[in-house]
Amino acid sequence: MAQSGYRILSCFYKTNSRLLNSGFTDHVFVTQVRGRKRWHRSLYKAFYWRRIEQGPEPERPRSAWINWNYDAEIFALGQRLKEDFTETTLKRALTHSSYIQKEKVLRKDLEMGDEVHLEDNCELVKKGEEFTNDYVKAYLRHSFPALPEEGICSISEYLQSDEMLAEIGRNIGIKDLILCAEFPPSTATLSQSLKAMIGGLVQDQGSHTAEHFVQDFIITMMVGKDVMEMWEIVNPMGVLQSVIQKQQHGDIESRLLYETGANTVLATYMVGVYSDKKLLGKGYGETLSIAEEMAARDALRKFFGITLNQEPLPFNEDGHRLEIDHRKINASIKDYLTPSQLQ
Amino acid sequence: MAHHRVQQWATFARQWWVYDATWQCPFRSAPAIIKHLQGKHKPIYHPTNDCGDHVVVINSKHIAMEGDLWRTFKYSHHTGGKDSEDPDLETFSENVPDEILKNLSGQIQQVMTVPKGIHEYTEEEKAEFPALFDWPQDHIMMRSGPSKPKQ
Repeated sequence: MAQSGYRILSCFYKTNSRLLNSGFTDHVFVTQVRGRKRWHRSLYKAFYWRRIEQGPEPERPRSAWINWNYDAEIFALGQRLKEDFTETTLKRALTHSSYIQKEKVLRKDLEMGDEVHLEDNCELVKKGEEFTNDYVKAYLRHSFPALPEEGICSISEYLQSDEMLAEIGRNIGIKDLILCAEFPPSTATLSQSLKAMIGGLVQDQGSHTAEHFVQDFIITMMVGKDVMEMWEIVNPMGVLQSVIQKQQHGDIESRLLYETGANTVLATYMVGVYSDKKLLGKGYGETLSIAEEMAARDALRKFFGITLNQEPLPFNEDGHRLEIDHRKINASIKDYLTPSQLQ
Repeated sequence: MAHHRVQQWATFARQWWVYDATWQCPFRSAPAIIKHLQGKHKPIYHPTNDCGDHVVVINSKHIAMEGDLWRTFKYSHHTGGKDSEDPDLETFSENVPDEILKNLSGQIQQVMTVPKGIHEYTEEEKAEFPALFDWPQDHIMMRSGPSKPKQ
């Protein structure tokens, strides 16, 4: 190492004559090294293969490094999110029961007694989960007043799935702050930690701030996504028929609007769904049945207010100004169906 | 997801066009047909994008060519080989098969207006048409109607 260091130094002095003449070099002893020695190549090659054989470095938590400051990181997390967490609440929200169990066993082995002065986040998780579920559904019902309850539940499940919450948690940087037995923390642990943080926010700042947090971090995950991707409608034609009957329109009639290449493998059909001689929706596909089903879905989009060109969901100032009625519940799709369809 | 899948299917669907070549100049029809073959009429066109359509040209033996071009026109397809020569103009007079006609979905607009021949007017229409003078009794009228093909 020392040799290579000298080499860099000597190169530097060669190029910078002003420094060389300034008298700065008087105290530095420089040995000039020219070229590379013959043994360099074999040595570095051996190092290289030794590294390859050893395999990649195991992933270590950030806290394994000596300059880790847990308190500072916890404080920084609150500051990043611009939320006034109490330090104890945030620490508690990120402490899992598995970590406490592990610590207890460790202390027992070291004969330090089994008392650990830590509280786990079970309560906060429960609190946060209930609060998130309640608010997400209320927000969705407010934004999609015509969407059936089944759709609301599907979107809400999608938004609150462990994978989604874990992704959000990872992105706000709680992975290294979580105290749990396993590393890296599992999806379930990450998701629970985020829920616990929301529960902590409700406890510290009240539900109003927590609602904004849920809106900003969880509901925004819907941006650019299609509701029909989160909610699969079974038998769309039957549902459409029931909706039409409920609204007292005439019978549904499917008509072929366009077809091309009927005799080829790339055949394309466009089918329109009509009722009372009015076009309800149109869909395309490689066969007539697929095109008809897509047309029914297209018509349902209009009825349920989930068209692809509608205005975006309210977030930021618009979102924070919303007045949401938490007691409101949308109509269920079962209300539309006739008794024979329910069986 | 299903919606985006069929949307993609419809976007990249190969359409089938029909072009009626009756009384159309082949040199002026070509750009109209090429545009559809290359897919340049589509908003998704890109040189590396395979989005060309199919065009079925019907009645190609009724094309209209200027002057004596029917007889003299040669395609420059000379390969440079010893026995190679430029082919003559050749049109297909066979009918288009039904399985191809079933694929059709649209028509390309003709580049020229088809004129109405004197033989397509009825006798009443001809009689009603204002005449500047009467023909002499011994005048022999020129034949009006489609010419017979040369043997």
